[in-house]
Amino acid sequence: MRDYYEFYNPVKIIAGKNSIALNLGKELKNLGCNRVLVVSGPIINKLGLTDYVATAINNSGVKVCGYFTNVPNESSFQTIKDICDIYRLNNCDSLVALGGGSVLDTAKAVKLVLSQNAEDIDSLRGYDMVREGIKIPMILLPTTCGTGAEITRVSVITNDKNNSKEEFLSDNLLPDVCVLDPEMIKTLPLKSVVLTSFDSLSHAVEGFCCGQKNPLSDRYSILAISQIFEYLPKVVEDPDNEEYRLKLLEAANFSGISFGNSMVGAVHAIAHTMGSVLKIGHDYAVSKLLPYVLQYNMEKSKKDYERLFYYVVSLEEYKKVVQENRPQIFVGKIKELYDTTAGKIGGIPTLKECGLKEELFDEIAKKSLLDGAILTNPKYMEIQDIKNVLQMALEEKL
Amino acid sequence: MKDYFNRTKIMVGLDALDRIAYEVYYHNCSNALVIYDTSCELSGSKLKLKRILSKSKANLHFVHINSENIASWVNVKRCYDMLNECKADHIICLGTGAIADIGKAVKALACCEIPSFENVQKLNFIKNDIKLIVAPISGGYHHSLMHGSFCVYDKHGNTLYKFNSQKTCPDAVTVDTRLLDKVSDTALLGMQLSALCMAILSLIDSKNINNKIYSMTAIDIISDIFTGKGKVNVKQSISSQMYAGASFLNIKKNIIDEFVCQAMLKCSSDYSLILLNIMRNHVDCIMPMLDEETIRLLGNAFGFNMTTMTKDEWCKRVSDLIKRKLDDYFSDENVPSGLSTIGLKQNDAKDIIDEVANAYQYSEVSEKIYKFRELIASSIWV
Repeated sequence: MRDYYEFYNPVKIIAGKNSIALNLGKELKNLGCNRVLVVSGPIINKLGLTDYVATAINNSGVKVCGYFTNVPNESSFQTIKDICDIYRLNNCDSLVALGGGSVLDTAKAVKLVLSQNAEDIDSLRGYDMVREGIKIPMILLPTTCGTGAEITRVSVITNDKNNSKEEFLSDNLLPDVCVLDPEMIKTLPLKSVVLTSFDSLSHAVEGFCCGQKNPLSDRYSILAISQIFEYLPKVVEDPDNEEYRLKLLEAANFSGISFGNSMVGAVHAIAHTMGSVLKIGHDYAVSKLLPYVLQYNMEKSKKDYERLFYYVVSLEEYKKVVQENRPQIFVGKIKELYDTTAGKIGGIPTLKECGLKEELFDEIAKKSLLDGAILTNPKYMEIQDIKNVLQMALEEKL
Repeated sequence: MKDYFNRTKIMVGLDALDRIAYEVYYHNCSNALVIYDTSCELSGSKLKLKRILSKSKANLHFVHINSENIASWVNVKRCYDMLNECKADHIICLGTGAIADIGKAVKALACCEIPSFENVQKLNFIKNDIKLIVAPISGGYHHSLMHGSFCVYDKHGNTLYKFNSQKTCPDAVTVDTRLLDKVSDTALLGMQLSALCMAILSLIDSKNINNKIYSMTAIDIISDIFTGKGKVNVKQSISSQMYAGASFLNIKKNIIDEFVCQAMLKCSSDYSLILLNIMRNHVDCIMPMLDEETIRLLGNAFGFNMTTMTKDEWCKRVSDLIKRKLDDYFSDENVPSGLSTIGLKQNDAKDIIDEVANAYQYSEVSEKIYKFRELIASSIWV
């Protein structure tokens, strides 16, 4: 156990079928809200989900007084300012956001600015600087199974001035309530369900093995990992099953609670860099890197892998494997899960097809070492270590 | 539909008390009511808190509580009057579990439109403006993460006052391991065992994700201690008690907790000791109430070689382990063994059972718990 740790999960989590229709309005009323600003992205809007949410709010007697339905994939300081202007102009008193990580991070940043009555987000860096400020009730509705953004105290926004991604940390970024409703991921393509679930799996596994773990975050990781191993293969077999999708949505939430109270590691550090160098999605990069980084960390994380192995296999299978082999087979199980789910549905390119080649290793490795997540990786990494991991991932050989 | 959360921020470890400075800054505290007991003067925590908050804008108003282990309604009212007098927006509780209970009850009163005990018991809370920070220094760690007051009672009136609501739970709990008393090996074992028992009991009827997470976390920590994987230290033992308490004491209709509370009113013993005396007699009957999956998790946590065991065998191994540890604990001559030695009389049994039965009717609790009540009722004083 570390010398000091914190665990904080004050967000009310409501999960279940029709939970938006049944609970959203009620929760808004409990929070004293009358005039809601709804924030979402263009795809979600096109799918009709924004209307679905707005109807649930209006039916409860609470009024939707404004919309911002054009949150881009990478929100900028200007986007935050624009949304704050709409909120103030329409005299709104609360926020409801639905979307993936980018939309939810945007809403969190908007809440931060409004709560401090600030002009823009530029001045609000530093965890220990921001105060509670004005209460801005906020409810978040995730529409993917991966980011856990609905439950974390972090928001990543692009600074327009230098095009760099900046991280904001504050208790103020937490919503009051998040609602996990399978309706929100009913139309999410199976490929996205699988890849975002791998993002959530990596949050849980890295949260469990990283240097900042604590006993409670460990338990949330275990819950997430066992749920993903149980339900991801099932959803591939039966993609429209709402119960399976809900289980994966919940798992993403559990892993969000875990890594939000511990940290991630090299999978995320390298995936962040690969994403910007190769212009590939974060969930895809993570799913491709996870087994190879775990293999690299084997020496330091053996005990953790051994413990996790218990939660990813049946008792019969567990009994068959001798103790010393369990860590290695655990890593094999992660790769196997990818092969039997992402591999099975097809249409997911290899890293080679996405443009990864040895000539890029040096750039990716150097930039990855500058990512904060590398600091909490269980095993120290140098440039050559990252290159070795990339080589393994490129060749898909454990 | 699932609904799970816990509003309390948990801060554990070296100099965790220092983080109160951030909490006070974040919530823009102007006046804080500090409720403390004598143990805080001895441990230096009162002085440390003064130093930590010396640079903040918060004015500190100290209230000393004399009585040991009794969170009386007289003290609650005294602190509530002081809260109003100094217009405090924060309550900081330093000391035992009783101090935390007083703080929670004061916060509950402050949350009522008309501050009365009746409104607190009915959970008529309409506002939540007061922030509550609990810093357990010398015991009562299992109370820390409990949402309401565990047991605020008037000893002479023999009345149990109890409430439990998320709205009055602490906003933060900070366990500063630098300030903790030196604890004897026996006391440490007692903490670990009571945590383990609370965790197991809460798993019997656990439907809520939070309960499961907290109880399994407590079991993880204790199994590390019992199997020699982790260092046996105060921090681990306290953490396990805190998480087990968060699981067990936040169960809404908790018949076992009610039983222990009623027993407390009849004697001057503490919660853990009563619980452990009960468990000592009944662990064999309690373990099979757990479902197979939970037994499997327990067996795994304690490192049993499950390749050759059936569910019944795991069950017996875990029961044996607990019994062995309980025997170690009760073999210390300073630990009162048996309910009669801690002041409970044969005549008390009927009153206790009646009170428990009045509090929870059969229709309100699961069959398992009903059986458990019968089990205790029929044999506890034998």
